Amino acid sequence: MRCEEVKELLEAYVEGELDESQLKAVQAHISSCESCKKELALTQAIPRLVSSLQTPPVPEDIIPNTLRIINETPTAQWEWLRSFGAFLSGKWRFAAVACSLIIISLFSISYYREYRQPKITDAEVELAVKDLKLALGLVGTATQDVQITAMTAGSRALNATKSKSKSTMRTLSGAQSEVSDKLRFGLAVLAQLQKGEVDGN
Amino acid sequence: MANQQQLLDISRVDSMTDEQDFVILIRQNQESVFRLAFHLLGNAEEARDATQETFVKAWKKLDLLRRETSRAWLQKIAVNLCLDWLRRRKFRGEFSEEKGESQNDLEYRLPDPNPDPLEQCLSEEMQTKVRKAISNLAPKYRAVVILRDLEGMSYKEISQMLNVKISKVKSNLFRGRRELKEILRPFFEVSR
Repeated sequence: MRCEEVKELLEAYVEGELDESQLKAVQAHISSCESCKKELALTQAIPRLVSSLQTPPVPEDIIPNTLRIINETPTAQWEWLRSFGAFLSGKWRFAAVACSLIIISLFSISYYREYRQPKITDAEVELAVKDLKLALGLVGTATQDVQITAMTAGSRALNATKSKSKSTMRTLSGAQSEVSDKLRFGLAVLAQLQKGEVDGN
Repeated sequence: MANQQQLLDISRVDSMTDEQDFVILIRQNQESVFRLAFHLLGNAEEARDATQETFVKAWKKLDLLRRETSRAWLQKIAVNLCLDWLRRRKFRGEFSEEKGESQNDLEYRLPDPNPDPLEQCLSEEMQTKVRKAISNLAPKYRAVVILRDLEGMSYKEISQMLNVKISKVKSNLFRGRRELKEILRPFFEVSR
């Protein structure tokens, strides 16, 4: 074994970490090499020098200082906020802000859907019922007009009643449109009301 | 409240409930924590601050303290804290008071021609030289050398404390000691 190889192994040798063949080879070399013998002495001296290091006396104010810091330490809640603040000031701040915005948006949409749907009030239901009744009344009136026209319509009075019939038909047509609108609105209101009741259950 | 003798006997904190118990814990461990911090950081003022911070951290995590032996747990906090400080110091480009000295400074200040290193180590100057040499080691080597040679810890204890494999502990120890040897070699050559 050459000196360079032995010197590479001296730390492990001092720690007793060499296997048997390496140990024998190193010992054989050291017994016949003055340079490596000195190197071994220096290697052995290092841990002993470190272990002999002295430490200055412990400062007397460690206990009072520690207790003062502990008593001044913010509560866990503030500590959490401070950690979060530190996190936001780091390299992840853009990702954190983006995630926060997404979460807030999703929450807002969900909240709006859940709580901000137009509510159907009792007054609206009452109004819808009234509209339906009015629509039915209009239909009834129009029907009566047609029946009267038909009854009074004779051969002589045909021309005279023609204009009346046309007027009645227009009224009926207008009423029909109005009825349709009212019915659609009423049905929509009722459908929402029903949905609300189902959701409520 | 736990009684002091009980804490001393079992060296565990099973019923720490108030500041008085905690003061007992500090008294029992401040010397070992300060010693570690002093040799890792290289100066007494920073070591005092690190010791205080170690106990403040321990106070915040008392629930963990109950599950481990207190001394090893506190030393682990202290070592990791000091390593953090050293990394930050390196990042900021700061130098410890020992840094910046050349090999010539080491040789120039070694008038004692005593050939026996063990006798030399008794001198204050030798102490200073070794401390300076340690402060020139990279934190990962410095920590292992101090834990092994000064604290007398086993490879397993060091690996648990630093969260590295035992093989890594050994290689860092050998590398650290070899670097120390090279830093101190001029002193031994001059003194012979």
